[in-house]
Amino acid sequence: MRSLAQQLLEVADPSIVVPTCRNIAESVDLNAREKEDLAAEAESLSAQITSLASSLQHPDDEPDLYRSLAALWLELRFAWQRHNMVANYDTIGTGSCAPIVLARASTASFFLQRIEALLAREHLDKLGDTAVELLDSVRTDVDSGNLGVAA
Amino acid sequence: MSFVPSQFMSQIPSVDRSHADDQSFGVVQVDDAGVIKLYNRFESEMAGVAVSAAEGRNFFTHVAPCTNNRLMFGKFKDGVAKGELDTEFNYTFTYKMKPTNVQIRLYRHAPSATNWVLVGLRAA
Repeated sequence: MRSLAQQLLEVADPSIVVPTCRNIAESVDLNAREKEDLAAEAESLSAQITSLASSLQHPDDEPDLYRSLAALWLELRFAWQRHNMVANYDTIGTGSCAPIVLARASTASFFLQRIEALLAREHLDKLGDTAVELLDSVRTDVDSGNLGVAA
Repeated sequence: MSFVPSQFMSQIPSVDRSHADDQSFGVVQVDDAGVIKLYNRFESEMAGVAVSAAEGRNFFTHVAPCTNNRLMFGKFKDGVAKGELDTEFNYTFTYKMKPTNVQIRLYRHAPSATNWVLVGLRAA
Protein backbone atom coordinates (compact mmCIF):
# COMPACT_ATOMS: atom_id res chain seq x y z
CA MET A 1 0.00 0.00 0.00
CA ARG A 2 1.32 3.43 -0.93
CA SER A 3 2.19 5.73 1.93
CA LEU A 4 0.35 9.00 2.50
CA ALA A 5 3.49 10.87 1.38
CA GLN A 6 3.58 8.93 -1.89
CA GLN A 7 -0.08 9.65 -2.51
CA LEU A 8 0.46 13.32 -1.79
CA LEU A 9 3.31 13.44 -4.30
CA GLU A 10 0.86 12.18 -6.90
CA VAL A 11 -1.75 14.75 -5.86
CA ALA A 12 0.81 17.51 -6.37
CA ASP A 13 2.31 16.07 -9.57
CA PRO A 14 3.14 19.17 -11.65
CA SER A 15 2.72 17.24 -14.90
CA ILE A 16 -0.97 16.91 -13.99
CA VAL A 17 -1.82 20.04 -12.02
CA VAL A 18 -0.04 22.66 -14.12
CA PRO A 19 -1.72 21.69 -17.43
CA THR A 20 -5.11 21.62 -15.68
CA CYS A 21 -4.52 25.10 -14.32
CA ARG A 22 -3.46 26.25 -17.79
CA ASN A 23 -6.75 24.84 -18.99
CA ILE A 24 -8.61 26.87 -16.35
CA ALA A 25 -6.69 29.94 -17.52
CA GLU A 26 -7.88 29.30 -21.07
CA SER A 27 -11.51 29.19 -19.92
CA VAL A 28 -11.50 32.90 -19.07
CA ASP A 29 -10.26 35.97 -20.87
CA LEU A 30 -6.68 36.34 -19.59
CA ASN A 31 -3.76 38.02 -21.29
CA ALA A 32 -0.53 36.09 -21.90
CA ARG A 33 1.17 37.50 -18.80
CA GLU A 34 -1.75 36.55 -16.55
CA LYS A 35 -1.81 33.02 -17.98
CA GLU A 36 1.87 32.61 -17.18
CA ASP A 37 1.37 34.07 -13.70
CA LEU A 38 -1.40 31.60 -13.01
CA ALA A 39 0.68 28.65 -14.24
CA ALA A 40 3.62 29.85 -12.11
CA GLU A 41 1.38 30.06 -9.04
CA ALA A 42 0.14 26.51 -9.66
CA GLU A 43 3.71 25.31 -10.12
CA SER A 44 4.76 27.00 -6.90
CA LEU A 45 1.91 25.47 -4.90
CA SER A 46 2.68 22.08 -6.41
CA ALA A 47 6.33 22.46 -5.31
CA GLN A 48 5.30 23.46 -1.79
CA ILE A 49 3.06 20.41 -1.45
CA THR A 50 5.80 18.20 -2.88
CA SER A 51 8.18 19.61 -0.30
CA LEU A 52 5.70 18.79 2.48
CA ALA A 53 5.40 15.20 1.25
CA SER A 54 9.17 14.82 0.91
CA SER A 55 9.91 16.18 4.37
CA LEU A 56 7.37 13.99 6.17
CA GLN A 57 7.77 10.69 4.37
CA HIS A 58 8.74 8.39 7.26
CA PRO A 59 5.83 6.17 8.43
CA ASP A 60 6.10 7.77 11.89
CA ASP A 61 5.50 11.16 10.27
CA GLU A 62 2.06 10.25 8.89
CA PRO A 63 -0.03 11.74 11.73
CA ASP A 64 1.73 15.08 11.30
CA LEU A 65 1.48 14.85 7.53
CA TYR A 66 -2.25 14.16 7.78
CA ARG A 67 -2.64 17.10 10.16
CA SER A 68 -0.72 19.31 7.72
CA LEU A 69 -3.02 18.19 4.92
CA ALA A 70 -6.04 19.21 6.98
CA ALA A 71 -4.42 22.61 7.57
CA LEU A 72 -3.65 22.90 3.86
CA TRP A 73 -7.31 22.16 3.07
CA LEU A 74 -8.34 25.03 5.34
CA GLU A 75 -5.73 27.36 3.78
CA LEU A 76 -7.00 26.61 0.29
CA ARG A 77 -10.62 26.85 1.36
CA PHE A 78 -10.07 30.31 2.85
CA ALA A 79 -8.00 31.43 -0.15
CA TRP A 80 -10.78 30.27 -2.47
CA GLN A 81 -13.35 32.02 -0.29
CA ARG A 82 -11.46 35.33 -0.51
CA HIS A 83 -11.26 35.13 -4.31
CA ASN A 84 -14.95 34.21 -4.42
CA MET A 85 -15.87 37.27 -2.35
CA VAL A 86 -13.92 39.60 -4.66
CA ALA A 87 -15.43 37.98 -7.76
CA ASN A 88 -19.03 38.25 -6.62
CA TYR A 89 -18.89 41.63 -4.91
CA ASP A 90 -17.40 42.99 -8.15
CA THR A 91 -19.92 41.10 -10.30
CA ILE A 92 -22.85 42.52 -8.37
CA GLY A 93 -21.31 45.95 -7.79
CA THR A 94 -19.95 46.69 -11.24
CA GLY A 95 -21.42 44.00 -13.50
CA SER A 96 -18.13 42.18 -14.05
CA CYS A 97 -14.95 41.07 -12.33
CA ALA A 98 -11.32 40.55 -13.25
CA PRO A 99 -10.97 37.16 -14.99
CA ILE A 100 -7.73 36.46 -13.11
CA VAL A 101 -9.72 36.45 -9.85
CA LEU A 102 -12.06 33.82 -11.26
CA ALA A 103 -9.13 31.74 -12.50
CA ARG A 104 -7.40 31.95 -9.09
CA ALA A 105 -10.61 30.88 -7.34
CA SER A 106 -11.05 27.87 -9.62
CA THR A 107 -7.38 26.95 -9.26
CA ALA A 108 -7.56 27.06 -5.44
CA SER A 109 -10.66 24.88 -5.46
CA PHE A 110 -9.02 22.47 -7.92
CA PHE A 111 -6.14 21.89 -5.47
CA LEU A 112 -8.69 21.65 -2.67
CA GLN A 113 -10.47 18.88 -4.52
CA ARG A 114 -7.23 16.94 -5.07
CA ILE A 115 -6.29 17.20 -1.40
CA GLU A 116 -9.74 15.94 -0.42
CA ALA A 117 -8.94 12.57 -1.98
CA LEU A 118 -6.51 11.98 0.91
CA LEU A 119 -8.80 13.04 3.76
CA ALA A 120 -11.51 10.90 5.37
CA ARG A 121 -15.11 11.92 4.64
CA GLU A 122 -15.85 12.51 8.32
CA HIS A 123 -12.80 14.76 8.64
CA LEU A 124 -13.78 16.72 5.54
CA ASP A 125 -17.23 17.27 7.01
CA LYS A 126 -15.66 18.48 10.25
CA LEU A 127 -13.27 20.78 8.42
CA GLY A 128 -16.13 22.20 6.33
CA ASP A 129 -18.23 22.78 9.43
CA THR A 130 -15.28 24.35 11.21
CA ALA A 131 -14.55 26.71 8.31
CA VAL A 132 -18.17 27.87 8.24
CA GLU A 133 -18.60 28.17 12.01
CA LEU A 134 -15.29 29.94 12.53
CA LEU A 135 -16.11 32.69 10.08
CA ASP A 136 -19.77 32.88 11.03
CA SER A 137 -18.84 33.39 14.67
CA VAL A 138 -16.64 36.31 13.67
CA ARG A 139 -19.39 37.71 11.47
CA THR A 140 -21.89 37.43 14.32
CA ASP A 141 -19.50 39.24 16.65
CA VAL A 142 -18.93 42.01 14.12
CA ASP A 143 -22.68 42.35 13.50
CA SER A 144 -23.39 42.61 17.21
CA GLY A 145 -20.58 45.09 17.80
CA ASN A 146 -18.47 42.73 19.90
CA LEU A 147 -15.45 43.05 17.66
CA GLY A 148 -14.10 46.47 16.85
CA VAL A 149 -12.93 47.22 13.33
CA ALA A 150 -9.63 49.09 13.52
CA ALA A 151 -10.05 52.74 12.61
CA MET B 1 -36.96 39.70 -18.37
CA SER B 2 -36.21 36.71 -16.15
CA PHE B 3 -34.39 33.60 -17.33
CA VAL B 4 -37.10 31.61 -15.55
CA PRO B 5 -40.20 31.11 -17.72
CA SER B 6 -43.30 32.63 -16.15
CA GLN B 7 -45.07 29.33 -16.72
CA PHE B 8 -42.62 27.62 -14.40
CA MET B 9 -43.05 30.33 -11.76
CA SER B 10 -46.81 29.89 -11.91
CA GLN B 11 -46.40 26.20 -11.07
CA ILE B 12 -44.59 26.87 -7.81
CA PRO B 13 -45.07 25.38 -5.22
CA SER B 14 -46.39 22.25 -6.91
CA VAL B 15 -43.13 21.53 -8.75
CA ASP B 16 -42.22 17.90 -8.24
CA ARG B 17 -38.88 16.19 -8.94
CA SER B 18 -39.82 15.06 -12.40
CA HIS B 19 -40.92 18.54 -13.44
CA ALA B 20 -37.83 20.11 -11.86
CA ASP B 21 -35.57 17.65 -13.70
CA ASP B 22 -37.14 18.65 -17.01
CA GLN B 23 -35.91 22.24 -16.66
CA SER B 24 -32.82 23.65 -18.40
CA PHE B 25 -31.84 25.63 -15.33
CA GLY B 26 -31.09 24.81 -11.71
CA VAL B 27 -34.04 24.32 -9.40
CA VAL B 28 -33.31 24.11 -5.69
CA GLN B 29 -36.02 24.20 -3.06
CA VAL B 30 -34.81 25.03 0.44
CA ASP B 31 -36.44 25.41 3.82
CA ASP B 32 -36.25 28.64 5.82
CA ALA B 33 -32.77 27.75 7.11
CA GLY B 34 -31.45 26.91 3.66
CA VAL B 35 -31.58 23.12 3.96
CA ILE B 36 -32.18 21.55 0.55
CA LYS B 37 -35.47 19.75 0.01
CA LEU B 38 -35.28 19.37 -3.76
CA TYR B 39 -32.18 19.55 -5.98
CA ASN B 40 -32.75 19.05 -9.68
CA ARG B 41 -30.69 17.27 -12.29
CA PHE B 42 -29.42 20.42 -14.03
CA GLU B 43 -28.05 21.85 -10.79
CA SER B 44 -26.52 18.52 -9.85
CA GLU B 45 -24.70 18.21 -13.17
CA MET B 46 -23.56 21.83 -13.26
CA ALA B 47 -22.21 21.75 -9.70
CA GLY B 48 -20.90 18.19 -9.85
CA VAL B 49 -22.79 17.36 -6.66
CA ALA B 50 -24.95 14.23 -6.52
CA VAL B 51 -28.58 14.80 -5.61
CA SER B 52 -28.20 12.36 -2.71
CA ALA B 53 -25.22 14.35 -1.39
CA ALA B 54 -27.08 17.65 -1.62
CA GLU B 55 -30.57 17.01 -0.28
CA GLY B 56 -30.73 17.36 3.48
CA ARG B 57 -27.67 19.64 3.62
CA ASN B 58 -27.56 23.41 3.80
CA PHE B 59 -27.33 24.93 0.33
CA PHE B 60 -25.63 28.15 1.36
CA THR B 61 -23.08 26.88 3.84
CA HIS B 62 -22.24 23.38 2.65
CA VAL B 63 -23.36 22.58 -0.88
CA ALA B 64 -22.67 25.97 -2.52
CA PRO B 65 -20.33 27.73 -0.06
CA CYS B 66 -19.72 30.44 -2.68
CA THR B 67 -23.17 31.73 -1.74
CA ASN B 68 -22.43 32.06 1.98
CA ASN B 69 -22.21 35.83 2.11
CA ARG B 70 -24.35 38.93 2.46
CA LEU B 71 -24.92 39.06 -1.30
CA MET B 72 -26.83 35.82 -1.40
CA PHE B 73 -27.38 34.10 1.96
CA GLY B 74 -27.94 37.53 3.51
CA LYS B 75 -30.59 38.40 0.91
CA PHE B 76 -32.19 35.03 1.45
CA LYS B 77 -32.35 35.40 5.25
CA ASP B 78 -33.73 38.94 4.96
CA GLY B 79 -36.40 37.75 2.53
CA VAL B 80 -37.43 34.85 4.72
CA ALA B 81 -37.62 37.14 7.75
CA LYS B 82 -39.82 39.59 5.82
CA GLY B 83 -41.85 36.81 4.23
CA GLU B 84 -41.17 38.35 0.85
CA LEU B 85 -38.39 37.50 -1.58
CA ASP B 86 -38.13 37.80 -5.33
CA THR B 87 -34.81 39.04 -6.63
CA GLU B 88 -32.63 38.21 -9.60
CA PHE B 89 -28.93 39.01 -10.10
CA ASN B 90 -25.74 37.88 -11.81
CA TYR B 91 -23.30 35.66 -9.93
CA THR B 92 -20.21 33.54 -10.56
CA PHE B 93 -19.50 29.99 -9.42
CA THR B 94 -15.91 28.81 -9.04
CA TYR B 95 -16.09 26.10 -6.37
CA LYS B 96 -14.66 22.88 -7.79
CA MET B 97 -15.46 23.97 -11.32
CA LYS B 98 -14.17 26.23 -14.05
CA PRO B 99 -15.46 29.81 -13.69
CA THR B 100 -19.15 29.69 -14.52
CA ASN B 101 -21.27 32.80 -14.97
CA VAL B 102 -24.82 32.37 -13.77
CA GLN B 103 -28.00 34.25 -13.05
CA ILE B 104 -29.67 33.63 -9.73
CA ARG B 105 -33.30 34.11 -8.80
CA LEU B 106 -34.20 33.88 -5.13
CA TYR B 107 -37.91 33.44 -4.68
CA ARG B 108 -40.26 32.85 -1.77
CA HIS B 109 -43.77 31.71 -2.51
CA ALA B 110 -45.55 33.37 0.40
CA PRO B 111 -48.81 31.39 0.43
CA SER B 112 -46.98 28.08 0.73
CA ALA B 113 -43.96 29.50 2.62
CA THR B 114 -41.62 27.67 0.24
CA ASN B 115 -38.26 29.03 -0.92
CA TRP B 116 -36.61 28.52 -4.29
CA VAL B 117 -33.12 29.14 -5.63
CA LEU B 118 -33.14 29.12 -9.42
CA VAL B 119 -29.87 29.12 -11.34
CA GLY B 120 -29.43 29.83 -15.04
CA LEU B 121 -26.26 29.90 -17.12
CA ARG B 122 -25.34 33.22 -18.71
CA ALA B 123 -22.75 34.27 -21.25
CA ALA B 124 -19.62 35.97 -19.86
